Amino acid sequence: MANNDHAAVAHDHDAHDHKPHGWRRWVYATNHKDIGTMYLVFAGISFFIGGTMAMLIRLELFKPGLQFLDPQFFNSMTTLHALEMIFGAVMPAWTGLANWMIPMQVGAPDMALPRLNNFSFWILPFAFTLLLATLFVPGGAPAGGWTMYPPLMLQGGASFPMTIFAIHMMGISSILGAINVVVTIMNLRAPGMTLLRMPLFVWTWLITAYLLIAVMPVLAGAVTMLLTDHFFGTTFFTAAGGGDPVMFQHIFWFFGHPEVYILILPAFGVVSEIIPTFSRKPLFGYDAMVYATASIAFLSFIVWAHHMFTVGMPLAGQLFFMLSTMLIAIPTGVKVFNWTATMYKGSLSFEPPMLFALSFLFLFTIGGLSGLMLAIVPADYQYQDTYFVVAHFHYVLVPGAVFAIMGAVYYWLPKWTGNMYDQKLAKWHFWLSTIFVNVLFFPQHFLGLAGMPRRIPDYAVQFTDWNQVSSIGGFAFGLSQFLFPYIIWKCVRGGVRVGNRAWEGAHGLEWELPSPPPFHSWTDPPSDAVIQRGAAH
Amino acid sequence: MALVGTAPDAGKRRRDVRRSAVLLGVIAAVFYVGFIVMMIWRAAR
Repeated sequence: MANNDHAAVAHDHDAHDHKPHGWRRWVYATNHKDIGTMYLVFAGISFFIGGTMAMLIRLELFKPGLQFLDPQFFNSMTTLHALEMIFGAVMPAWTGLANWMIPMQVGAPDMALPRLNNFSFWILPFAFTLLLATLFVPGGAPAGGWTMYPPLMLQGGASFPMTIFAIHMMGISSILGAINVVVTIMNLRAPGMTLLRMPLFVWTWLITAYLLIAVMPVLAGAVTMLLTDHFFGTTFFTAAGGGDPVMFQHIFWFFGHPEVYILILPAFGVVSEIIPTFSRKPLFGYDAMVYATASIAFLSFIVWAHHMFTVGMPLAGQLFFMLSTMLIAIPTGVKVFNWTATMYKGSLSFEPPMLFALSFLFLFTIGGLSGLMLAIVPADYQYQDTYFVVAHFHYVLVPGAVFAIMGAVYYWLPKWTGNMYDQKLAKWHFWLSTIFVNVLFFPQHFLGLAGMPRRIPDYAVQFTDWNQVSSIGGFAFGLSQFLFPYIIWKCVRGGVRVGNRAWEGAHGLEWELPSPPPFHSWTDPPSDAVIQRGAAH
Repeated sequence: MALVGTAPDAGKRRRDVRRSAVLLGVIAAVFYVGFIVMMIWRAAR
């Protein structure tokens, strides 16, 4: 459905593009597209580093007994894999997409705070260099899990303060990025771009940004308390000194659960952009989608203790957190219903972004349903710390968040480069990913229900078969991901030229700009007619 | 950045951007530092 009409007439303002060249363009970058590109490249590199760690984990778990990895190193791999994927891959990927798309979608020339934007990005490489450097210090990398529960975390060696410092840097980067997003959306929208005309991706990112500002300081507080417990003699989490290790879990998950929605809300936005385009219909229930997103964000603050039902809490507490967790199914159900209703009687076509969005719809729903099972307190007593939990959150995060990121890249790549990518190869990428993500994670439900605990390098022999299936799925999924950077690289180098509206059913201001867009997006705000055309939700 | 002179009221918009950025920055800093200080202060009592 590529539009080959060479309609990409150079924007008037191209003539005024004073684009810096060489390394200065990237180190001193203040342009939202350049910074967005750097975020996306950084996320891609982190995805492959974290993926390598996952391959090592699956390699060790291919057979019972200890094969390749020392148990301490295995634990470091599970810990670093999570930190790398959450803070290094998914969050920067969303920030990269926000940088690229929000100014174009709201009719702004750039992000509101370009220098702060540069600073937000450049903190990240230092934070992750520090985190990965822990692999080479005495005592090895952190091995207490990404949740950093004391007292285990407090037993870390030289890696402990390095990890805490890296987390502070990631947190500051995220908060500054979030401030930039909020200020851009609230102040730089083109005249006529009212809040309820904004694309869903912008809405979901606005809500995500508020979540980030609210909860990243909580994580910073929690890890700083760990630091003072370790080095300055406080006993926040040490029972012997009057502290409470369970308190850490409460504080951590007060951050951690909204963090889950920080990872997934922008995915809802992306899917809400893609499905209407390839259904050639407006999004069903736009207002309801906005309110559902806000409801999910609100509920994310009052469900945190469902991560810790088994620590021993009063029955009233268990009931409250069980019921509040189940409430999340309502706004999430509204979303799934609306996406389905958007497709109903639509003129569907199945280009790569739509395939990823559909896969998201089915597989994220599986992750959501296993989440509901985990929300049931007596059932959770059985599932706690088993592979069922691992299966659940990987269904939410891989075919959920990661597939949405891939769908977003396949959706907007023609806009960014002006070229259509190799759709056949992208469909290969999709089918291999979708088949093997299920081979990888679905058997983990069975392993968990059969009682296999998570975060162990060895297991009882009866778990062998499904672990082997899962590992084979993991290797195949991992290998198939090399198609993704190849397809992008090939597209950046050239391809069939596309017009402004790369997909015939696409709506939104970004499709009114040339492909590729000018260095500064909307130096003149779009007219009301253009906004109305774009806002045909 | 080509903000100046492009928006209908560029000066007002620039002031609004600054005001929002400072407000959110202060809120985030108070959250960030305040939470840490509050915890340490409570523990020190």
